[in-house]
Amino acid sequence: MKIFDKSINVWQASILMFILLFANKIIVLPSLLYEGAGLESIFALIFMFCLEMGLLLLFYFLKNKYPTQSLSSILQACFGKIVKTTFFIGFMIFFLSKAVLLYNVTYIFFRNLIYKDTTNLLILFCFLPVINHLVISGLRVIGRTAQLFFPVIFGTVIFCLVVGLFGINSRTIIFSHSFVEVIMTGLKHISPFGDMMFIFIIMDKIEIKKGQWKIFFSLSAVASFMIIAITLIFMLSYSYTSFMHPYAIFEIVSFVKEFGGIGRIDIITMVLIILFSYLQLALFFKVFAISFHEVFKNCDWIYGILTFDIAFTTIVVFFIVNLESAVVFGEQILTFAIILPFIVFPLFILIAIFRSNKKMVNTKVKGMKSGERSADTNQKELNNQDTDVNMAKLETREAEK
Amino acid sequence: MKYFFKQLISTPMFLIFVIMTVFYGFSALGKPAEINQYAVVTALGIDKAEEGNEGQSEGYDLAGTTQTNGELYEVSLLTFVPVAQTSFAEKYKVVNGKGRSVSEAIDLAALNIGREIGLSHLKIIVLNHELVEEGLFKFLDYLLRNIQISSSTKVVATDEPAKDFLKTAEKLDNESSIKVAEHILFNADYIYSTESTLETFFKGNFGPTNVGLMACLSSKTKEEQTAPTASGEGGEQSQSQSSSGGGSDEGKEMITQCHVYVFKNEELVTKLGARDMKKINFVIGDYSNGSLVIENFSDKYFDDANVTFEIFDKTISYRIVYQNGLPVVHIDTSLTLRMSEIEQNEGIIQKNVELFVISPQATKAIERKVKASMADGINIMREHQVDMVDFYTILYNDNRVAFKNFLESLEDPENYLSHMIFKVSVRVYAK
Repeated sequence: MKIFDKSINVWQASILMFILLFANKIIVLPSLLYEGAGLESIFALIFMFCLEMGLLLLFYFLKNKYPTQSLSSILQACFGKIVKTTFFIGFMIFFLSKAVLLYNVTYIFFRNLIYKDTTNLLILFCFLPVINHLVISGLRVIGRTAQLFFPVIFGTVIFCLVVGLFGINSRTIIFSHSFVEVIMTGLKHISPFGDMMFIFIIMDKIEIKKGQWKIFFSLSAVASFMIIAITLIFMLSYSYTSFMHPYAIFEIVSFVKEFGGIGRIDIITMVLIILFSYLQLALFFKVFAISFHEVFKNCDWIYGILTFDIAFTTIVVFFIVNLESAVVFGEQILTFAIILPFIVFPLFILIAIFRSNKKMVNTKVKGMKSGERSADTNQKELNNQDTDVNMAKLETREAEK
Repeated sequence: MKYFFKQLISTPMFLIFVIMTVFYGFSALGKPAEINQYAVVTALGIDKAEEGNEGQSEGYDLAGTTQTNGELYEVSLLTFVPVAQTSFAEKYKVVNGKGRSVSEAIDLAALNIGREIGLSHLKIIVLNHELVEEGLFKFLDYLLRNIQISSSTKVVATDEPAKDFLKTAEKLDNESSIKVAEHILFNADYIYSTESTLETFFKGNFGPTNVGLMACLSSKTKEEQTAPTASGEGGEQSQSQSSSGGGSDEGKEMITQCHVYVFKNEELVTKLGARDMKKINFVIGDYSNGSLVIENFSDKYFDDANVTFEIFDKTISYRIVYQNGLPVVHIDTSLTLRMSEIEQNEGIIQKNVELFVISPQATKAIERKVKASMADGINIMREHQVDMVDFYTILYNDNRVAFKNFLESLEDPENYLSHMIFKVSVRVYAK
């Protein structure tokens, strides 16, 4: 099986980033943050978004320096094959873990609030075929699907924020936690972050023209602002009873559900969470599949997809079966994995950015030889070759004349 | 057509769609209707029931078969009963169950009705006053942990068996479409009552002051109805008994508000009548409706009249200043009023109706009245050491160092309200 990941434009890439930034941050995280450091934990959230934006800046510099190169070729050229392979194995584990955490939180949310008799397998049966299809269909299909649903997602988030504002009615103590407590809470719950690495992994598939970076940065900033706003509204609405409300986006709407006498409007958040979950899981899956293909070059794509399906289902069905285990997994295991996106990876990327261009010239040649090129780049080169051939033919004809 | 089917078969998502439809379709067909599987509960009542008390539970009961210490809960569920009919009226039935815990009692109630209990549509929880007074927090844990119960569910106490209250509520709903949950929502806007939802109760209880408020309702016939529970305040028109029920028949049931339970540190501290709540609400500022009566008032328009003003709008702000280490709380409030009623011996007064202007004398009288009410409200809070306004948070957020020093300087930091100084300013505007 071949998967052709066609390139995506800057809008699609930005929308994918927008969606990924929401991953795991609007359901359980606000409640856990408040429990750790009260209202001040909002600073921890801002700090973590600063780290994400730092990754985005790194991406900006890296993409500007190597506009057509893939992450794989950059890592191989700068640090060798072992480092590259290690990184991609790390990505596989990291994004698989993220997918497991995301799925579990979503599953528990639906089980508790919609259908308590549902089983994990039943929900998996709803999710897996769709995300498999999205991954197999290629990046452009994911991008276009995300683009199609983006107005709905954006509108719903705005709606939740506006409705949530009406629920703020409590007074809460501020600045009762120390700076250390805030930082420790931030670090303890950092596992939902680091998704920005996704953009590096598909960097050769993104077409960004000059002047389009502002779209990229703006949408990421808007997503960050929205998540901070949701968290703040949740904390101000519930404050001392936050621990009773583990599903932030649902709760901020639920609290004012009688507003206007229009009945239960919290159902809207469920639609939002369904859309987010499908697209985020597809993106995590996509990264896993790409990384698998980079690590096991000789294996067919289908093995990467099957590996994800089997590993994901096994972990989800047998190991992380309730909210408590999901939270323990997120807080105690995945927290350590965050070293990858925020320490190790940026360090290597910084070195790659400051390396001389001469090295990458060699990489280009190597890349051509080993066939490590994107489909679009290859197509462009083929077109160029065709042009060269045509030009040569013309020259020959003219010479014959 | 052949090409079309070929295309369909070669599309994996179509096959998945077919499999899912077949899988879910047949499994759904094989299941009973959800409405027959789940009992939709709209109101939950909790009573204290003694072991072996015959007739308390209608149906299956574990009380006689288990070793208990005599403290059993009886749960009554106002359950929606789907009945095919041509009218829009919804049929409800009260189902009971007894158990050693609330969850066990609910399970047994489920056995009695033969359906699983669904609490997602729960709108009101009614607690028997005996339970509330003896130890509310013994059984509240169930309500706290149950994820199905919405935080905006109303929670009230009642001075009669919760089961009877729910039966009255059901009757009222059938006869006059009066819903108790809406009744509480309506009352919460008034100066005489308080918001009484699970969320507000727990928030107060888990907050720094550990003070939780819960409204108490009663379903009484008109004959049974007694005088206002609050101590009389000479001449003031009683609006404390906000009641519903409609109709003029003698003996007809109606919902009335009795008082507000005040809890501190998980214990019942006091019960406040509507007029006491009014005094405290003037300090809290958490109301949007109410009225104010000035007795024996005279100015150029009136002579020895009882003048009632309707409160249209209010704003309240707190300003903290520390003097010699003691916090001085300036409560600045402004009221927008409209004259709604004049009671005078001379009969109806025609002046000052079209274009109402509050005279300086009236303004001063209103200010005096509001200040006196606020002073009384603060004294009530001081007396019971219940910080219903949450001055703790206000002071802490204003200047936490000074507030901590103030608390440390006190022999009994719990009683910080008594050591605070309050200064009230009232501004009155005419609508």
